[in-house]
Formats: sequence, structure tokens, C-alpha cells
Amino acid sequence: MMPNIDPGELERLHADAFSWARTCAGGRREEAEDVLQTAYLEIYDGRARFDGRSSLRTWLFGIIHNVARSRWRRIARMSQRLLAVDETVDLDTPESRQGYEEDRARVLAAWRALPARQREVLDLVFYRELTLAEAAGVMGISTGSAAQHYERAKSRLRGELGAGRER
Amino acid sequence: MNAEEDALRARLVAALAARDVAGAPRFADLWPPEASGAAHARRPWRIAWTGLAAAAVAAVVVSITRSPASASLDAELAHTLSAPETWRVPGDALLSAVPRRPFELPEIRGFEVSLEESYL
Repeated sequence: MMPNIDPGELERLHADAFSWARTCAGGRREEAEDVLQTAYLEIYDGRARFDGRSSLRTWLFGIIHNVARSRWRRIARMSQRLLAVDETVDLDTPESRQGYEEDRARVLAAWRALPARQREVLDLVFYRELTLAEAAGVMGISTGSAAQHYERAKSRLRGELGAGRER
Repeated sequence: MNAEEDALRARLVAALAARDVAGAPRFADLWPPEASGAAHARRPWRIAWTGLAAAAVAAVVVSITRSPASASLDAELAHTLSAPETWRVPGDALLSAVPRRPFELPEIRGFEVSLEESYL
């Protein structure tokens, strides 16, 4: 089955899609490339088909999210230790960190320490300016649940950054 | 959204924007039709290309070992052997033209029976 989307439209969203894939992949660039390519393959093979019920961007983000989740579940099944390690290790390379100002690095570290759903909802609503309903659609959860994650994420991030300032 | 939330949002947006400064890989490197030709093609495409290459080699080998000429001779031999006229046998010219097959035919000696035995 062929894709029912013009690749040119996907190309226009590519940079944003890669950035979102990176968030879903725990910050790792290589993993984000694999996630995004797998998502593109789903679309190219016609297994994922755009039905127009949401915007193309929201639909694409949802596929990327699903791919990242299923990859992560496979990895987590193989080793629970990997899951624990990923929560604590700083995954950005030293080269990319050099360019960060101190505050940005601190905010990024605090954001990365959030649980996955809280991290994702903040990325979608703050950074990509999706509504809560759209973010819920991407994440495959109810709007009410997304709102709960959103409120907890803001509160926790505020707390983390506040605590960091006091240290 | 209140001022505190706006400030939090601005800080996170700046942090994520800084993370994304490096940019994305080229679309063509990840989109399937183009990705297969990219220098750093990823695993699924490498596997697909390996399979394709193996199939191509197999096709070449088969085409060399089973030329159209030998296939037509096989068909002619099969037609002769399966003809309703059981007395008709393949001629020497046809048998010598058909390529040898890698299996042994039973020794004719084992099938020899005397004229007397054949009537018993």
C-alpha cells in the first residue's frame, strides 16, 4: 500500500518532527533518527494512513510517539536496568552542552528529570504550542489526563528550578 | 496563563531551542525511498538491500545454469517420455543434447531378465 501523503508536506514538518522524536527518545539523537525513520517507514508502507481527523502535524507527532513508546517498551522488557540508567544519565554530548547557557542547561536537566508523560506534555504545549486536547491526541490519552500531567509537570519543574536556585 | 507560568514557559522554550540548534538530519536521509541510497542508511534499509543483492545474485546463477535452450530440451524430453506411444523412446541425438543432471540413474544390469523369465 502506498502512502496517502505528499512527502513534501512531511518534509516541511521534518525539523519539528525530529525535535519531537528527540524528546520522545529521551534526548538521544541517534535514537531519535531511528524513531523518525521507523515512523516514516510506517507512513511510506501505508500502515499509518492520514484520515484528516486531526492536523497533519498532530497525526505525525502521534505516530512518532507510538513508535518511540513501542521501541522503549521493547528495550525496557529486555532490561529494567536500562530504564533506571536512562533516568539518571545526562544524554547530551559534551559538544552540544558547551553552547548552553547555564540556566538553559539547568532547565533542560530539570525537565529531563520529569516523568516521561510530564516531559512530553510540556514539550507539546509550551514548546510546540499545541492545545491540551491536541497534546492528549498525540500522547494517546484523554484530555483530562493530559491536563493532570500538565499541572503536575509545571509544579514539579517550578519546584526543581526553585530548589536548584536555593542550593 | 499567569506571569510565573509565562516565565517558566519562556525558560523551557529557550532550553529546548538550544538543544535543537544542531538541527535535524536531512529529510532525504530518513525518508524510505531516498534513505536506501544514503551513505549512512540505517538498519532496515541495509537489510533490504542485502536481501535484494542476494536475490539478484541467485537470479544470475539460475539464469546461467538453466539457459532457455536447456529448458526447451527438457520439455522435449519430457514430451517424448510421456507420449502415449510407449514404444517411442528418445533418440540418441536428443539424449546427448540434454545436459547431464547431478543424479545417478539405476544400473541397467539390475533390470535384465531372461526371455523365459519374462513369460513366467
